[in-house]
Amino acid sequence: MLGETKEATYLSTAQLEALSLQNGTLMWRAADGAESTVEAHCAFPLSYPDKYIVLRDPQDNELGIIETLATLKPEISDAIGEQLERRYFLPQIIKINKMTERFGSAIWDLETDRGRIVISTRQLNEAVRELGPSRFLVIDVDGNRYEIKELRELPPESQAHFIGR
Amino acid sequence: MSISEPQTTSKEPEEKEAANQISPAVFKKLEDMGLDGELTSDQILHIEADLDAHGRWGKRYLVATPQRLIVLSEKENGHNRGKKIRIKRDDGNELVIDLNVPLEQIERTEAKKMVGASSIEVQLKSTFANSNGAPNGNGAHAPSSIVEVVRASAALDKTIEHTAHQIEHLRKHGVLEEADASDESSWVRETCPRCGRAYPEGSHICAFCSNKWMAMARLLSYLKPYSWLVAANLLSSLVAIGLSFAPSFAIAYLTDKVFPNPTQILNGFVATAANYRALWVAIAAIILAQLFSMVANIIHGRGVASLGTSVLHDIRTELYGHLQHLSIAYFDKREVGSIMTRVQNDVQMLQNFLLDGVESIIVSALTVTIVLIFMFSTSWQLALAVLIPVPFVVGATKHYWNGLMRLWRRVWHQNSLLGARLADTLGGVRVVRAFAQEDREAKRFIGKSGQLRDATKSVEQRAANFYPVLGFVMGIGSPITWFVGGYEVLAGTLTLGGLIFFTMLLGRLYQPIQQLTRMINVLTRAMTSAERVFEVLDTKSEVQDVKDAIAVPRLKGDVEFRHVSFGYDIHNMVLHDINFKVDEGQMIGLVGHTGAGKSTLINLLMRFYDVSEGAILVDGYDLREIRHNDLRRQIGVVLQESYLFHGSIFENIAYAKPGAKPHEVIEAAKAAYAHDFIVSFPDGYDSLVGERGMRLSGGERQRIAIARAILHNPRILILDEATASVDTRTEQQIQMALENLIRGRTTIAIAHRLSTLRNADKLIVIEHGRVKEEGSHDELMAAKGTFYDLVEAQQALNTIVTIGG
Repeated sequence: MLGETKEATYLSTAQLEALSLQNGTLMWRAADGAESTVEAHCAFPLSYPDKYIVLRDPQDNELGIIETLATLKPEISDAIGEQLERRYFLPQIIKINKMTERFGSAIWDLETDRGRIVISTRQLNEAVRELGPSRFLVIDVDGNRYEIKELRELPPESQAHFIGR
Repeated sequence: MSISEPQTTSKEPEEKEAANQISPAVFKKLEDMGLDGELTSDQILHIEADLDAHGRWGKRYLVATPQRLIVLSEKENGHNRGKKIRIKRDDGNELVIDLNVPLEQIERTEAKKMVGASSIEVQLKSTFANSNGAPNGNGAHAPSSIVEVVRASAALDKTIEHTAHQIEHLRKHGVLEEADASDESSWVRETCPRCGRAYPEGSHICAFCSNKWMAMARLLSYLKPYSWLVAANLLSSLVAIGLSFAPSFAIAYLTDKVFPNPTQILNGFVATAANYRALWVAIAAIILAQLFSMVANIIHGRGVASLGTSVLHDIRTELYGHLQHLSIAYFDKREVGSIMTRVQNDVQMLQNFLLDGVESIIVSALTVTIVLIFMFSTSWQLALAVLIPVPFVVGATKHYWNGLMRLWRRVWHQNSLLGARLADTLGGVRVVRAFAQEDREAKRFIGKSGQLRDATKSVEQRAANFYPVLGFVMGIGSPITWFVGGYEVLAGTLTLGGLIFFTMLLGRLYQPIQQLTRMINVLTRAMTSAERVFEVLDTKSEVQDVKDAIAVPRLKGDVEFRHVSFGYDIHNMVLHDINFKVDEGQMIGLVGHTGAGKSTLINLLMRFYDVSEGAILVDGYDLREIRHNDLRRQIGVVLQESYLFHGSIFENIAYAKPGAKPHEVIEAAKAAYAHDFIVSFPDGYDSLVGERGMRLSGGERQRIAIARAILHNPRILILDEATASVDTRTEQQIQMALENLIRGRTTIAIAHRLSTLRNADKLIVIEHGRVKEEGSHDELMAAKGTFYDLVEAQQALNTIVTIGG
């Protein structure tokens, strides 16, 4: 395996030409013409989910970094986006239907972008991680994580359920 | 935990019992496909994944028989997608087949861990993939015929891993791998069989449906040794409470029997000597009753303190003793830190309960009972009227108080965050200054403090509502009493003294009821804590002495590994068929890359774990048959980072041999080349070391550890990278110390610096958990194999270090 390079290689528009879609799979053509599949990783999955995308070959060698998905051709950025969506499973909470607390555990009835789910967490202050002033991660007893991107954008009732924590 | 539909959770018990049975709907579907023949086999794997093909919450089933792999999912109902909930019932939804592959067409099965989820991928043989087109159930596209078959949230990570492993086994051998039943806990996501909610990590107590009374009964059983204290307690509190009613009685008596009533006053009442005497007696009775009540209260309070602390002490001691004897595997499966906090929190909770809660419950319950008896015996109609506000008192307390507690916890949490923030920046004050970030840190602190202020304000303001509202509700009792009681007095069915007695009782009715309501919450929490503590107590050590374990007071020190295989969990073997022999007094070196399995070998020899296959023989006895204590006593270890306990150097060296004499300790220190530096410390052997003691260099700690091992005088010695964390000069000193230690003992050494193993009688090269090479240093060098390569690589590295550094 190659050692880590000293400088970050941000892929230029020209270099990004090496990316192509074959049968819906993202492929990378190296300088010598060899092709390999590409795995996309987020360098900042929470702070910048669609920026600083690290591309790696199947042997985990870094091919380069894409600064922002916005500059890519739509089909390529869609393919990368789809890959990232598969790799990073972080349901977004869009509504809190109900929250009940008993004996140091809490039951949350949630609407997420991945569907409705009822989860249980430990004592509330242990289960909620503050990412920003109104951004939170809720971690359930199984270790599954759920994100509230912007508390103030949730319906008022949901906010009340959450603030009452 | 993910319960897709709360209403269906009651089904879980049956499903849990039949964890490996296919759900009826899936079975029926497979039957319809004509696969019932395959389904009768007992070699069937079945899991229910919690994500659908689109990565949304939903059910998906994977069934593997010795013939094929099938994935089914529920047919999508287009308009039900989105925010609406789909009602899922095993019998209701139609199932569709996403994938149906003969096992022989699968090249490889693999579990893939992602962030927050995991999946099973199979690689299909190219012939199959080409003729069928990559069958794909999830919209992903795979060129090299790699297909994702199921996906599940992180909750099922272990299940997914296990399943992928079993599919491979089924594919290669036609049968499932037989797993130890106890191993199931490592891959089955454990849920409470009653409600289907997941258990907390490392626990089998469901906070929602555990039987609190069982825990209560068990907690009470700790009272047995103190039964006389319990009796004295109950008696004293009964006396204290009973006596506290004396003033009310006395006043009622004075009003009715001694003081003149209005009619008497109108008729020109003249007090007799008997009246005055009665007044004196009544007042004296009040004072005496209060005096006795005080004495009884003191006895009671002291009794409760003594009882609570004693019971707590007993539980703590039992717990500590038990934790010490649990196998290392127990601590491996759980984070030591989390066990510590959990146990500490739970014990703290019990302490609060035993010291304050129990007292308050007993006193309140007795008071309420006595008050009600007095009230009903005075006037049952009035007593009933007075009970009217009770539901409101209970309701208000339940509603407000529990909400308030919740908010308070939030405030405490923010308070602790603020404390952590402060400790963090003060601890790192040098870094803050170095980067000139004082202002930013101050701003951040102000921000956090502001949040705390807001949270505290809101909870204090809510609390400010609570007591006045409660005061009002309880205050209603007074007009009720005067109104209803007044009618009775006017009607002549109640005496004035009776009414006054009643009003005095009133003040002692609502408050204890409110207290009891609050205590219900404390009680249930305490019982949950008690259950968790008992759970730890009930955990049996996995490595246990067999019934007729052999006593071996003195080992010779022959060690033999015979076909040893081992994995920390069953799917992940770390060691495979290890064979070697060490004769008494020999030294062998274990060599290999990091992660090759060297430390695992040593863990097995120490019997921190039992081998999965094969046996380790010491002096010809199977390790598992030797008495645990005899074995541990005669094995000594020097690790890479030696742990010194908080205490003096003397205590640390003598740790292995309690009661060691000073001259023995000095002798050991001398042999370990530690004596000189110890003596030059101001406090010599009495110098404190460990967490809060003086700072020692790595080499010094190591030599103290060697002295400890020398004093321990083990027959078998294990050196695990004993010189890894020190510089070359110190290494030489340690090396000399080690030579003194090794003499005459069977020694097994792991060393990263291969040069330190030059004196070993035999070297064993481990690679990927197998013995790769075996022989003396010179033999292995001559063979130019793995060992030779390792030595070469290390020498090259040393040259670079020398030139560069």
